[in-house]
Amino acid sequence: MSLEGRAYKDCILRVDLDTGRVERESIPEEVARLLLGGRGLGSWLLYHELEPGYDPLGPRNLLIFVTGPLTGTMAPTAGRVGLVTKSPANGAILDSYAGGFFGETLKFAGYDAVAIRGVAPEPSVLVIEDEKVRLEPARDLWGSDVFDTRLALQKRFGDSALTAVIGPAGERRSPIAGIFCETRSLARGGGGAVMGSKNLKAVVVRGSGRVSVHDPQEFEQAVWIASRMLRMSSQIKRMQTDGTVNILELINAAGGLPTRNFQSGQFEAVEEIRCEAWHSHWRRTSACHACPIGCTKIAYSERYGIWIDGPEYETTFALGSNTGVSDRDAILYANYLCDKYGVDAISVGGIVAFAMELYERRFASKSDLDGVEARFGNPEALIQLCEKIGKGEGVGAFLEKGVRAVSRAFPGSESFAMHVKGLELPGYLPRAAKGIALSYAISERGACHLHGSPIIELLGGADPLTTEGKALLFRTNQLDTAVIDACILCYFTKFGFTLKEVHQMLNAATGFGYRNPREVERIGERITNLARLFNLREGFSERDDTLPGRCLREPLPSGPAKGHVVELDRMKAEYYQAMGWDEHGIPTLRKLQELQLDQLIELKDLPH
Amino acid sequence: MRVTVKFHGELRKYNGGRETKQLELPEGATVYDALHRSGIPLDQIALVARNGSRVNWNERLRDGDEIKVFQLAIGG
Ligand code: SF4
Repeated sequence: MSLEGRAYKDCILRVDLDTGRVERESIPEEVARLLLGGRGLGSWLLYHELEPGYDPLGPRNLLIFVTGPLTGTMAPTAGRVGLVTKSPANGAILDSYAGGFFGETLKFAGYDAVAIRGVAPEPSVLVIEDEKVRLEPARDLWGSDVFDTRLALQKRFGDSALTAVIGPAGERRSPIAGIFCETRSLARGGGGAVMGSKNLKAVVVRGSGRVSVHDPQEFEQAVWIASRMLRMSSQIKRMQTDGTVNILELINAAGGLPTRNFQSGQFEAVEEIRCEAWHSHWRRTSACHACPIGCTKIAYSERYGIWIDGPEYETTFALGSNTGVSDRDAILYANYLCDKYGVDAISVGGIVAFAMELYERRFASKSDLDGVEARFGNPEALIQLCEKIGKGEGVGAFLEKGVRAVSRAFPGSESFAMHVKGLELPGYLPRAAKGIALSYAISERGACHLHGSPIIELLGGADPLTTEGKALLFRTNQLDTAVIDACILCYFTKFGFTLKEVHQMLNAATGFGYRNPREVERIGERITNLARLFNLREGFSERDDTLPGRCLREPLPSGPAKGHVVELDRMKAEYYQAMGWDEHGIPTLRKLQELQLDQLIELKDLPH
Repeated sequence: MRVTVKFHGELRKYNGGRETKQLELPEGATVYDALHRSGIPLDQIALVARNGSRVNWNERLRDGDEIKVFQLAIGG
């Protein structure tokens, strides 16, 4: 029985940019049942088809856009798109998600995944209009920023076309370049550089189909319950009024708001950047497809005359407290520059903060930084550095390589180079939240807060300063999140409903008949192991599951977590054990067989 | 002694929609006593900060302290 009509389109679109050839193939039922779609399907394709050790910017790397079985249905938040590729920032497996409407449109056009390889002979746009797929030349767009590109594409293809574009940073193959889907982004890990390496300026999609599910009546019921649970949650209501930044003051009170390159966890000017302070900039609220939450704020800066989606908690930390800047207009403008040139604001903020510390500690001189007075708290320096990084000009061409690469040029700076596996840290201070610290160390794509970080630690849900129980807490979160990313739903739904509701929606949509939520959790475990195997095959090891020296050895100087460092080794050992891996973090054969991964990949070429 | 209680977000509904409430408390009163008097259901509290930093509920308050009560929240 085909998967078509059971929430899937049963179609992987393959595009070979070298030859312009397009092929379609169906998804093996076993793959869908064991890995769902989204992150699961994308990881499986990448694991299967990419030869180990291959250059992420080489023609044969795959750029895989994925949707999930729930994408395009009425399941709450199911409009998202995912991206899976090998990251040019670190050579690890990269998966990333963006809200908005691109994902559902791709599904309506008829695809569960679009796997792109090769290099187009000239700058091009991939146009997908239902079953019609073609490459169009885009020389005129090469060099344009994200905003201009989007406008030009809208003019050329009409308002109903959805776009995923790269800016100049992606064209330059910058490892911090993202892919921008309307006003949302697949930001982390350098997916934009992979797209740029393929001479692909944009993907344009128009879809007129719909998504049918296995049992519509039961599905409607399951969706109703899940949506209701989301709407009833008082936490979710806060997201509506104050966006993701609603937690900033709370995180600061818990001592977890990274400040001045993670030197401390409390920002003295928190009043200037907490949610209440943004109300004077916010003009509108918006929501992604089928989302009853609607957390997106749209801000305006009078000083610069610019509109921007946000700021989110993450961008406010990255460009604000972590650089010591409390000037809201400057933060908005810096965020705008990141979006305009197409770079990841979390990584840019991390790089700027690192440059500031290098400057203040005299590792780098003013002339090393093109004359920028790179002091913490200097809004002009923030803007100048963002502009240089975004354009790749002057010192920006060096800084855009990321914190790890920059620190190599300044021996002795490694301990405060805030990255894990080459990816800059997101917005929670590891020393003030031990479970989050563990998740940063383990996460496959490098320091990441979206692959199971138990953020509730800092929100009053657990004692953040103990290591006890954190391995299990992280593991549970990690497996849940992997399921959410395979469906693909929004990360925030986790705070409204659980795998129980996901289980019901999935069964009604696909007819797979998963026996219980536990079986659905297994899917998350399978995907997590698959990602681990990919990285091990690429040469990653337990040594890479670590944190910057600052987190491990510098006792925190102040705040509620004063005196704390991260006791990583113990948590790591507990985590490996909880996962059924050996003491070196390698999944055991028994574990992999138990997870039926032997049905999906060749276990003989495993790293042992 | 006098203590200021600040209500975060949706918790303001327990204070007639206002952000701030002044409490007169006996010497030796703890954070818990202040929470009890503030009328906020305890299961809706994520974290309590004194003068900007997280504080344990059994700590004694001092005259002039400002405590802020945060509701359960998500974001990030
Ligand atoms: S919660 Fe926010 S990010 Fe998530 S789907 Fe809704 S509007 Fe989009």
